[in-house]
Amino acid sequence: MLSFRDNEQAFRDFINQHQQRVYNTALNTLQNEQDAEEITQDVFIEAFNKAHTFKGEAQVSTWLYRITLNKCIDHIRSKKRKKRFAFLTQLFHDSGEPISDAGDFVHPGVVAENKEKAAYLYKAIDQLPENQKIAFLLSETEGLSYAEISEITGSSVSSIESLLFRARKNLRKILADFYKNNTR
Amino acid sequence: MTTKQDKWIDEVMGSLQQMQPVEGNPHLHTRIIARLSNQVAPARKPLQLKWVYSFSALFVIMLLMNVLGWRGSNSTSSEVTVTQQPVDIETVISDYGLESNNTYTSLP
Repeated sequence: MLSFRDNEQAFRDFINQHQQRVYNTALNTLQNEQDAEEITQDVFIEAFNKAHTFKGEAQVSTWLYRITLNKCIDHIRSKKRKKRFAFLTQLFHDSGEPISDAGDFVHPGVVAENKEKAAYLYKAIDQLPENQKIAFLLSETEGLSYAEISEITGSSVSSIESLLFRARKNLRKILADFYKNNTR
Repeated sequence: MTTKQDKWIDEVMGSLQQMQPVEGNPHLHTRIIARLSNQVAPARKPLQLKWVYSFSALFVIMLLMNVLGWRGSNSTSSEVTVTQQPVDIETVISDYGLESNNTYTSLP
């Protein structure tokens, strides 16, 4: 059982060990650096508060991936909700907070010559259904195996295979549309 | 056209291949500790206040009900003493014709 209470050094080590993975997963999913940083903080705060619930049945990284993805999904949903009611919120409460779309995001770690193409890919990924998006990102950007993705998402390996197949098919379709629109 | 398009799509699909993970904020730990120390006070305050308020409201309501009930029972018992006269056993005996010692009554 994990516990970080009264052991700040252990928690610091835990953050140092997993920070990069959590941040990059959040960054790829949310496609926004500020949001990813905020979610990374939220993930470690939840890990601190709920460390006692981790029984060691799965790997710590799997547990952290689950927390991260759940937080990212909640964040995306709340952003979509905000966007849907943007007109009303602007009428009644203008907080000045931009309700941003995933724009031309490119992960900073993408190789320089691929940046332009990666921007198209991120745009297309953003249009995928939630579960396909998560499966694709875990596979492509984190390099996880089907078994690892199935453990994180709680789906069977065969359903992950089918999700990834559909994700790739859909991405090709979306990218074909991008190509046609750009060459016109 | 199609082969050109397919080639472009393949390139786009493979554009994340050599991606390197980026480092997060070096001050993340400090920020998290700051947030953790801040979360304790405001998270508990409204919960405690909520219970304090609800228990005090419940207590006041129960107290009021007790006072009202006590006053009500006092007034009804005083009314009873005013309207009802004390009845002694002789009055009951005379009212119901029970003066006779003969327990066997003759039939008409």
